[in-house]
Parts: sequence; C-alpha cells; structure tokens
Amino acid sequence: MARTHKRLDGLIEIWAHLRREPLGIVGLLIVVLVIGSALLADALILVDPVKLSIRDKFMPPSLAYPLGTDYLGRDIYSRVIAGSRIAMTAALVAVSISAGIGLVLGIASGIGPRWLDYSMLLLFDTLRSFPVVMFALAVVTLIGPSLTTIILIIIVISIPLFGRAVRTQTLTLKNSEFIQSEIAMGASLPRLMGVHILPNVLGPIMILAAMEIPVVIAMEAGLSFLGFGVRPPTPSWGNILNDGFKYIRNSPWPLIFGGAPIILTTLGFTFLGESLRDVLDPRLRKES
Amino acid sequence: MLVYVLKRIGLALVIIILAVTLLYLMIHAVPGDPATVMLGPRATPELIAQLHQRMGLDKPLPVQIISFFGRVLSGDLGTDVFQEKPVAGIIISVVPYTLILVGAGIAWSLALGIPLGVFSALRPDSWIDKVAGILSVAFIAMPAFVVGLYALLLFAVTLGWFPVIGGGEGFAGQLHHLVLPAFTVGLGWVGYLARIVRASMLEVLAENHVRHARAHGLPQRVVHYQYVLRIAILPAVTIVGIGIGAMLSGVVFAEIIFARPGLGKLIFVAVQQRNFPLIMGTVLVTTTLFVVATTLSDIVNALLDPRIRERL
Repeated sequence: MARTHKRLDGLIEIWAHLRREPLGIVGLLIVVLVIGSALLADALILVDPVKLSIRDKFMPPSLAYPLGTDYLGRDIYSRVIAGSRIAMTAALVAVSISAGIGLVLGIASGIGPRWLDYSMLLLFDTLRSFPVVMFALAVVTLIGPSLTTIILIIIVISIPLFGRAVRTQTLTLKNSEFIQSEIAMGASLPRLMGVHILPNVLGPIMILAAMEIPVVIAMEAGLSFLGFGVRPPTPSWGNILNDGFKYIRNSPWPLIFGGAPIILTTLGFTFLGESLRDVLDPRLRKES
Repeated sequence: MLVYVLKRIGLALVIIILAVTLLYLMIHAVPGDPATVMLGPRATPELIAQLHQRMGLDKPLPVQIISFFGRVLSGDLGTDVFQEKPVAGIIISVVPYTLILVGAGIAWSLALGIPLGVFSALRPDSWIDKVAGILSVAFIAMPAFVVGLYALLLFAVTLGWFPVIGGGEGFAGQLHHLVLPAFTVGLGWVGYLARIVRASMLEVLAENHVRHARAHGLPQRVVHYQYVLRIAILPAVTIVGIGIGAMLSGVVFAEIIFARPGLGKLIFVAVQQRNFPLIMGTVLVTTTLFVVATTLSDIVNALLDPRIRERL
C-alpha cells in the first residue's frame, strides 16, 4: 500500500513539472493519440485497409475517404490507422528487448572484471561502426524482409546505446558510498546487481528508451519505404510512402498522409522525452 | 599525444577487422549459402558448385576469411558476378557522387547551424532562442527520408523548381541537382550544430577570461566573435567527423528518392539483385569510411582537449 502511494506521489510530481512545459504537453497528447489509435485500430478503421476498389483510385480527401485513396483505391485513413499498430509494435518490442540486453551487458561490464569490460566495449564499438542503413540492407538480403527482420536489426544496433549508458551509470554507482559499504559488508554479486544497481540505473534508461522510440519508428518506416521491411499489402507507414513515391505524379495525397504520421509521432515522442528528461534528470544528456 | 593517436588508430583497425569478419560470418552462417540464393531456385548442383569455386566458397571458413582480407588489402574486392566487372571499380566510380553530397550537406548545415547557435546563445531565453530551440529539436527528430519526400513533392514535382532525377550534367547542372538531396541529408545536422554551438557558447561566455575582456572595455563584437566563438566552435568542428559518418547512412535515402548515383543507390540495387560481392564491397567501404571519420574526429578532439587523451 505504502509503495503504491509513493509511486503515485512520484507521478503527481512529474505531472506538476510537465504541466509547465507546453511542448511536453503537446508531445504527450500526440503520444496518447498514437498509442490510442494503435490499441483501438480495429474500431477506428472505416474499411478493410487492404480492400481494393480500383474505380476509386487516387481520390483526394473526401467524406467517404477522409485522407483520400492510393493507386489501388485503398482508403489511406484506414491504412494510416492500421499502420500505427505496426509502428508501435515494432518500436516497443525492439526498444524493450535492446534496453533489456543493454541493461544486463552494461551492468556486467561496469561491475565485472577488466577483461569483460574491455571486450564489451569492443563489442559495442564494433556494432556501432556499421553505417546503420548499409548494415540493415545487408542483413535484409540474408534473412529476407519482414517485420521480424527489422526488429532484429534495430535490436542489434541499439544494444550499444543502452549498454554504454548503463555501463557509465554502473561505474559511477560502483564508487558511491552505499555500494562500497555493501561490498564491505559482504553482499553477493547478484544482490549487488539486482537489488542495488538495477533500480538506480532504471530511471535514466527509461528516458533513453523513450528517446529511442522515435528513432525506431523512423527506421521501421524507412526500411519499409525502401521495400525491405513489412511486406505489402500490410499497411505500414513506410509502405504507404513507398506507394505514394511510385505514383507521385498521379496523386500527392498518399505521400502527404503517409509522411505526416511519421513526422508527428517522432516529434511527439521527442518533445515528450526531452521534457521528461529535463524534469527527471537534468544532468543526463544523450550521448551523441 | 603520439601514444594516444597510435592507440586510437590501433583500435580503429581492430574494429574494422572485427566488423568485416562479423559481416563475412553472418553471410555464411545463414541457411542457404550465397551461391544458392544468388542463382535462385532453379540452379543445378553443377552451377552452384561452379559459382562456389569462383567465389572461393569451397574452402574452409578461416581460410576464406584470411584470403578475403588478403585480397581486400591488395585492392581487390572481388568480381561482380552479374556485370562481370571488378567490384572495386564499380564502387570507385560512384564514390565521388556520395562524397560531394555528404560534403554539401555538411557545408550548408555548418553555414546555417553555427550562426543559429551563436544567435541563440547571445540572446538566451528570448523568444528567438526558444523558437530556434524548438526548430533544432524538430530538425533532429524528423526522419530525413520523409523530409526528402516532402521536398521532392513540393519543390520538384509541384513547383518544378528543381529536377526530379539524376546527378546532372556540367557544373551548373550538378549544382542544381544537388540542392534538394543536400537539403535532405543536412537538415538534421543544422539542429545538432545549433544546439552544440549554443551550449558551448553559453559555457564560454560564463568564463573568467571573457569577463576580463569585457572589463578591459573591448567592444561586444570583438569579445563575442574573437574571444568566445573561437573557443565555442571547437566542439562543432570535431562533431563534423561524426556527422560525415552518420550521413553515409542518410545518403542512401537521398540517393534513392532523388535517383542520384552513389554508394547508397549502389547498395540498394545490389540488395535487390542479391549481388553478394557488391553488397560486401559497399558495406566494407562505407564501414571503413565511417570508422576513419570517427577516428579522425576523436584525434582532432584530443589535439584540442588534452583531457580526452587520458581516457583511452
């Protein structure tokens, strides 16, 4: 009971700070909107997003088709809504898995023996040395394009980001007095890692994860746009853009409304993340 | 300093070797080896064996990797089995296009980002500073490929101010073709640079020697541009190296959207053809360029700031 109260107080405090950040509020609204449309996608769509009606192709926005239609007469509004589910799934799955792996590797690297630390750093640096898109394209060639492939690629290239941040945090904690006294009292390594270090690195990692979500959404959309991501006819924002790009001379609407949700979502998450970071931890600055 | 430089170069070499080995292993760990994938489902066993031999895939893996490195060092990146041309030649012929695009992107983002940062730092918390701050975050967050598509739609297709496809002929033509792609790859860096310059400018402005210069009665302009900016600009200069590396990724989209020749376009086509030698070669070259750029920027950074040398 006391624990829930404490959590509630924390949330109220965050809200009190966030209220004073207009951009944070705008970001929060957009994030709620996108998550809401991803959750309620089935109720919000007007027609089946893959249903063709060739007669109505390249329609501008109208009452029947709020955002117009694409080259096969599919309703862009319904495709955008269905696409939000794919974007959010990819982002949440990829970010939570890579943050989880990064957390374990980072703590191990920060608290473990020197050779482990060095090999982890080398691993992180190596994974970061591939230009992201080139690496993604090479992997797609090998295991074939799909949503799973994209999530896998994003996980691999995001691990260094989380791993390095956790390692730095762990190193700072390791030298703090309370950890030193735990060690002096003979606390076991699992206890140190799980009970003392993990809760203290979780906060900064949550902020980092929130900042990474827009990056992941952009990457999923980008690879799908290139035709190496979610397979058509499944509606992903990147696929809508790809169709719009191919028929750019026939109708501007698929391109306009395929791009808008990507820009809105990335801006929303970024503004929210920036405000939250300023509220929760003014010292933390994202590594460039 | 020399020790740091040698160590940093050593690390860069190790990273390149590891990265290439990783890539090579990945290609060969996948079920259905490259030869089968390339030849498609109708390939006969003889054809596959023949291609194996040509690509050196019939030898044990460690031998393959070592001989691969040997060939790479002698400048041989293998043969494109589709066009029957050496991969190295194909890559070299398109590298200039990509480098020009990256250079143009960096140049215009420096030209706009640095003044924007200086302007904001000299008027902290004014409405101009706030607007510039929001714009910087927005530029950083917006995915470059969506920016590129919107630019293509508005300025090339609808308004017709700029050409839709190609690299252009002659100097004026090339410049004309470069505008929109360079805008696309550079926009995010305008935001980054503005933020970095603003932050480091504010830091330097608060330092004692600046107060001293003011106390001496030096004019504001001289203090700001000769004393503050000269120091504050260093982080921006060193981050350009990282920017060049990151842009190698961004150019893929710009080159495809604006149908420009270059490394990005090359790997895009190679992936569609499942052209493994060409994919390996392009990834190798871009990874090397990326590592070289970040290493150089680290070394420049260490030259400027001796504290960093301690850390490696």
